[in-house]
Amino acid sequence: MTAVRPRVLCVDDDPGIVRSLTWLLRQEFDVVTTTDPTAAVALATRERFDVVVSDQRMPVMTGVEVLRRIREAAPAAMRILLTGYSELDAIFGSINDGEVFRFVTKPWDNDELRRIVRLAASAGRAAVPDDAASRPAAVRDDRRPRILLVDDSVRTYDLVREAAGDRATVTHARNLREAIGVLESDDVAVMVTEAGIGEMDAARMINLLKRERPGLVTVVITEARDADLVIRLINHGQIYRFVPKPVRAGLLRLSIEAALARHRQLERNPALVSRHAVEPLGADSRWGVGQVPAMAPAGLAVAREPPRAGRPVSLLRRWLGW
Amino acid sequence: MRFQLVRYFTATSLVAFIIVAVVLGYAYREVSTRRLVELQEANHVTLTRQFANTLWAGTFAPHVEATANLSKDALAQAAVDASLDAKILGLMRGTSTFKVKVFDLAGRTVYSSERKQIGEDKRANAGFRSARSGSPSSELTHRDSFSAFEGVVEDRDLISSYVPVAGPGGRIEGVFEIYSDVTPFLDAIERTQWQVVGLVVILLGALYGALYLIVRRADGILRRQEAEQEQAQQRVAQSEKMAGLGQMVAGVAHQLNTPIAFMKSNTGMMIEGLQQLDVPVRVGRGLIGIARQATTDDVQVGLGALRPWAATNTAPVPAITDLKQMAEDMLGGLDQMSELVVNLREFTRLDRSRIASFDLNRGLRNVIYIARSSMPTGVTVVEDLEPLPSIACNPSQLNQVFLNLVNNAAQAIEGTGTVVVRSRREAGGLRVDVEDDGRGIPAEVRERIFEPYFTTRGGAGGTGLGLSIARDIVEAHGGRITVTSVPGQTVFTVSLPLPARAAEPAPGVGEAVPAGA
Repeated sequence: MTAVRPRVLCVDDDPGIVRSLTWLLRQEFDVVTTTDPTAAVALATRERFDVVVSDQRMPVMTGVEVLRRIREAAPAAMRILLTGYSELDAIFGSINDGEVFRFVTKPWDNDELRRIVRLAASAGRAAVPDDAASRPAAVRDDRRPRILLVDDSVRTYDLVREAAGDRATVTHARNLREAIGVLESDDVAVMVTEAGIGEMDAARMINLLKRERPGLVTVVITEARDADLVIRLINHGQIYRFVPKPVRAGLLRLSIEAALARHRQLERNPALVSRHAVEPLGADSRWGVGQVPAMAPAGLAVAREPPRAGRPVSLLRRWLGW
Repeated sequence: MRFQLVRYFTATSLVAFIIVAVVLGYAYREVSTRRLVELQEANHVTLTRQFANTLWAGTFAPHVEATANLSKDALAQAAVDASLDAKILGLMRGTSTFKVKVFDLAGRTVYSSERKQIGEDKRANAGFRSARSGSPSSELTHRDSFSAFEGVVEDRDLISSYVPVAGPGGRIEGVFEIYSDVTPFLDAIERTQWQVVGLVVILLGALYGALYLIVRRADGILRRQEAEQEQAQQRVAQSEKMAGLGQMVAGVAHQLNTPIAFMKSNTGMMIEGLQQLDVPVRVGRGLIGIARQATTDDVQVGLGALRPWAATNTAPVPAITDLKQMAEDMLGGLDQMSELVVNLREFTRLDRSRIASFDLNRGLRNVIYIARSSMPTGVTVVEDLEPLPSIACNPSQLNQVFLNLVNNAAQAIEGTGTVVVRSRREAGGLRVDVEDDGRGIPAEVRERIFEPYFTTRGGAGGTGLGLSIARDIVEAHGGRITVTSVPGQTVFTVSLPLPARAAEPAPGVGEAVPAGA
């Protein structure tokens, strides 16, 4: 960590909240606060912030909208959505538009929030997306990336193939075992997965995978309009895009295009994977998985390695007892 | 008032059955009697022929000729051949014939088995005229007393026939009138008639019994369906209420969550801060004690244990002003929470009587406060309230109406927009407008918008009962609810009547307040 203290911008329409956040974070960070969402966007555009913490429900502009604008204007800032209102649309938006790092519910736990902001700050500082990398057309790669679809439905396979067009090869895995096989034998750029694969909790599955394949860009398709699941998918799985069922072809295509573009960025600048860092989940140790080293701090050590085929997907295998 | 199926069925059936029984009995009697008269007439024709064959040429024809020129009185005085009586009596014995009369063509009674009737002029009698022109005619009569061959009989039904007597060559030469007793036949007919009626009544009774069972069953099914429908309706209305309540609760939960969030955070930090203050406060207290005992400005203090503490505890000592500000914020948070509770209580008004004298503006401010908590970002509510007199109403129900209208208005707005809640005093009443600058309501939707179950949010929430219930409530208050809409301006207007002696407007309210804060 550099000597310069990370800068954090907090936006909430309630002055009580922003004062609390200031007291909470000012020991470690340079905290700037505002109760005006529009001013927040202007501030983030004008000045450099490592982390932006935004409330969801504000007059004039939602938190997702604030974060989306800040992502466009200042992609370097890590984004955290803070809300007491588990509105599903807000959660979908926070993934697909805001590309948030974490979703924090009000009321928060002081230590947990400090830790998440710290994590975000260090992940954000570890790699800063440069403008060139953001432009997908800059480099032309001859290899066709591979999309792994984990879903038992043929219809989804057709949809994904159609969405991928000639940009990528689509491999269809009908279950987790097949999926692990593909991940171990091939370079997989993007994984498109159904949220309910067998009995396994999707958030945990993706969490276990991402800790070994941090560069794997994930798109989750789900029928379950379960806010809690989606929150865990972000916080533990750092999924890149979320596609609700019934799948609309347009949204799926946009999501896959964005995921492929993200994959190209990560290929060019592998350090960027730290921006999608995930942490071991609480119950891991019970299963003998938590001891896997190299996760601390914030999984950055592993994260620097680009995804490569041939390495076993050991955490997930161990969890499943295979 | 519900339709009393069984009751109406029974009444209609009974009336119909009585009519059917009466008509059937009457028809039977008519037909039978007519038939009896016809039969009896045929008998009389036969009898006449017998009389004519045996007696006309030899007895009556000469008698008619002989008496042709006698006056009525003379005719009556003229002796009747006793052998004639005997002959006629002989012919009639054993039959039901009671009496025989003979007329000449002029209508004079030339013979009657009742002697005193001889000489009567029957020229004008319709029966005689009919027989005179060739066709027999009969009629049924009831006589309380009648002199028959064998004396006077009483209470008899008789059929009397006028029968022409044709001479050789078919020429009508005279007319017979024959009376027959049909009392036994009529009695038989009457007995049968009662039997028919009785049978019909029994059959119809059985039919009624069967139909009654069917109808009662049908009525039971109808009642059950009605009850079920009513229940379903109540359930839907209830779920509408619950949906509204759910939305409100979600909004309230959010509203509560904000102060809870910073109060919890502040509490945590204050505990941390107070722990960090422990040593500094003790040190300060020690210093104060020393200062109290000191006799000079300069005192030597041994730092002793404080130095290692200071070396290890590098975290900045929290400023008292910060801790105080945290506590003040918490106090503010508590104020926010109690404001919410007051508004919730005001909104439901469960602790008040149902009908109360109520200032609508108070309800409107309250509704706006509640509605704001669940309102999408980007919607601004503007209060434009004029002082209003209090009116007797059900505040809880009207609150429900206004909350529904304000929520609908907010939902009609995509992105950013404004909802204006306006209250006005009008001639004879009060008016509340809820106006939005949202997408507007198409005319075909507008026409049906107050119908129960009409919803444009198919499936996606909304029972289609909100506005229907609103209309019921407003109409129960004697008011009207109307809507006007063009894209960009939709106004729902609730007009409520004002009783003749209205209270004066509550003072000090009503300036337009923009509601962004």
